[in-house]
Amino acid sequence: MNKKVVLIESDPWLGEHFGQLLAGEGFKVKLVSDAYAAMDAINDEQPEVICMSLTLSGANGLSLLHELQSYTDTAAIPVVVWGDRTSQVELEDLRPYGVRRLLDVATMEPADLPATLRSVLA
Amino acid sequence: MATVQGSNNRGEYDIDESSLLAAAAGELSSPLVLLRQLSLMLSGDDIAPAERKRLADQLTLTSERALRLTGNIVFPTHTPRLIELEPVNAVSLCNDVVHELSPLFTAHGKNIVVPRRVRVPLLIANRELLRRLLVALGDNALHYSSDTQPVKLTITSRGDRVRVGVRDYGPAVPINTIKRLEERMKQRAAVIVPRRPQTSGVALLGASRLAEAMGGVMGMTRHQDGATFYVDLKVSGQMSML
Repeated sequence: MNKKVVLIESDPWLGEHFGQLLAGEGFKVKLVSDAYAAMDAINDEQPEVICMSLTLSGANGLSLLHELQSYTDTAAIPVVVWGDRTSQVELEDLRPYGVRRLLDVATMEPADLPATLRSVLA
Repeated sequence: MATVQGSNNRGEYDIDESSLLAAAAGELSSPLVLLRQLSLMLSGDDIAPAERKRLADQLTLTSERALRLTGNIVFPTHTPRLIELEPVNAVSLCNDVVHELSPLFTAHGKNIVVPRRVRVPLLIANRELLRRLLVALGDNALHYSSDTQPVKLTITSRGDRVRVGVRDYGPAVPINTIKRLEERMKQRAAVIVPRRPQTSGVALLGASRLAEAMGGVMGMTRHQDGATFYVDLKVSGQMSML
């Protein structure tokens, strides 16, 4: 597949794990851990898809999503988000921010992330 | 280089509980999610033996990390009982900490060391609490080291105090952030360190409380190429027998 993806996860272990899952499925992954690094990586990499945690350290995930929507080029990139039940956010709330899928980390299977990215890229 | 120290006031244990709980929940959820993911992968049918071992090792390390986080959360929410203090050999303890953390660092391709030191100052502390404190700081520094620049445990004498620190090579922390850290430590609130998103606020809060419980002070020294989180403890008057 070899599609470029920017993966944003504050927890380095979880980020590495998701990165390995995606790399194993043929994605070219750029892993970053915060919103500021994400903006740089998105500008540099011009990814086909962005996947990220909703609960980032520092500037939060919604701030980043809002920032991405501020620019024509980044607003067009599909976004996949993961969070848990405590975040109490629905996909419909996130659609205006360019989010195409919302994954629940409490129930998702390891194969779900690459499958979801493939589906939004199809 | 700038330095700041946390509060050492005794008898005040007013914790910003909502802040701590929110930070604790956030920090604990990630290893739990990872444990679940790893166990699901491990239960797959077509896993090569090497991959199975890697997953099992990662499960162990992730469990240990979650347990350390739990310890950091539990301690700050309880008023410490009377803690027995004794002369402690800082170098010996630092070597134990390095031994304990080395598998974790190695798994991430990193290194943690104790520089050689001729004089061995004895300090007054509770050995177990100081070990937990240094493990928390070392754990926190994991992602700010490299093959060429390992995380270093440092020991220096300063008059009637001994400073034991954990030197990392992460992003420099801005001056205004240091002042904010000081305020957060005084308020006994979990700390978020901008530009260091992998820093555990709960771990820093827990370490600060452990330092207080031993009559010490925790602080941070800012370097251009990283930071040293440290604890200052009283030096023992007892002659070193080691």
